[in-house]
Amino acid sequence: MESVFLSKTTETPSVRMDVSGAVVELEGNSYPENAFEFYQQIFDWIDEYFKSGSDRLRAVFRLNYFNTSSAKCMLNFMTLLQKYHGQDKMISVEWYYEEDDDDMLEIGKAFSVDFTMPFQLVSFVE
Amino acid sequence: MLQTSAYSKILTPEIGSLLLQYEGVCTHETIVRLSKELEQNLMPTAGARFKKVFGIFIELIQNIKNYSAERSISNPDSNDETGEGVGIIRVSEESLCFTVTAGNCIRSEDFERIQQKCERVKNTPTEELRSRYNEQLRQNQEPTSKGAGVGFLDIALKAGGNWEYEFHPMEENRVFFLITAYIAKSKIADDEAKPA
Repeated sequence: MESVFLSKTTETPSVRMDVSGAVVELEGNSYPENAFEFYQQIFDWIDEYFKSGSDRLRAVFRLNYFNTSSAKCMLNFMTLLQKYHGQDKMISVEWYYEEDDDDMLEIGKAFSVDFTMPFQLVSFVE
Repeated sequence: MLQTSAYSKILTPEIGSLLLQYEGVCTHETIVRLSKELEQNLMPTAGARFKKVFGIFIELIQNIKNYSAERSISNPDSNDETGEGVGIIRVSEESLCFTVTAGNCIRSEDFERIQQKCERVKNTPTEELRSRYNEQLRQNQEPTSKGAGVGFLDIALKAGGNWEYEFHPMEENRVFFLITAYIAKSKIADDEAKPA
């Protein structure tokens, strides 16, 4: 099982999939040409990661802006993490939102209500 | 291919200052290039409202790319959407708000479906837009959708309910579909953002 790092582009976030740190971290904008394809590679990595025997994962979302297809992918992302939470893996989610960004806050809030895994909303000032 | 220069005639003449206008094929590369340009033009003035204007712009231009009936490659034998969509998009700044306008052709047979979709969102009270968005996002996608099926709701939310749409019949079984969103410059001005 190897760690993977995807560099940030104008329209896709940087993604750090780190085995030894037990963390997946996204940072930047997300409006890829094909969001479902982009996120699938992360979901595949997470499946492999747990298959290889890992028992914990921290998922960190530091997104600046994402489009609606990416929002759907975020929902799929949460559903996947929740599945592993249900299998007694230690999952924690950190959802960052810029202080006055009510759209990012509200989406995070809805996720934190929908899912029972540990979920933290964290505000920051740019 | 329809003459794209006809599109700009349908758009009302701009008031205020133009931040960006593009007319033509919307490839992914075009979208990335224009989004960088918009970021540069918008960042200094839009401040906290930047993400709302930017988000509506991306949603609308990706709609043109995915759903415009006029394509960069036309295939008359098929209804398949080959190539990339053609349309027009404009972002401008007025005294109380930013406006984002986007237009593209749709097939006449899709007109009613799209009109109903717009109407449903338009008739949703502003305070219910968020919960409708969340519900819709959690439902399965429409088979015709390349996205999450919440595009109009997202636009309505970001514009605080201040958006409108028009349909203009054109030749060749086409209808021109135009959307305009108004993003107030301050939260207090939300109600005043609508043009008189």
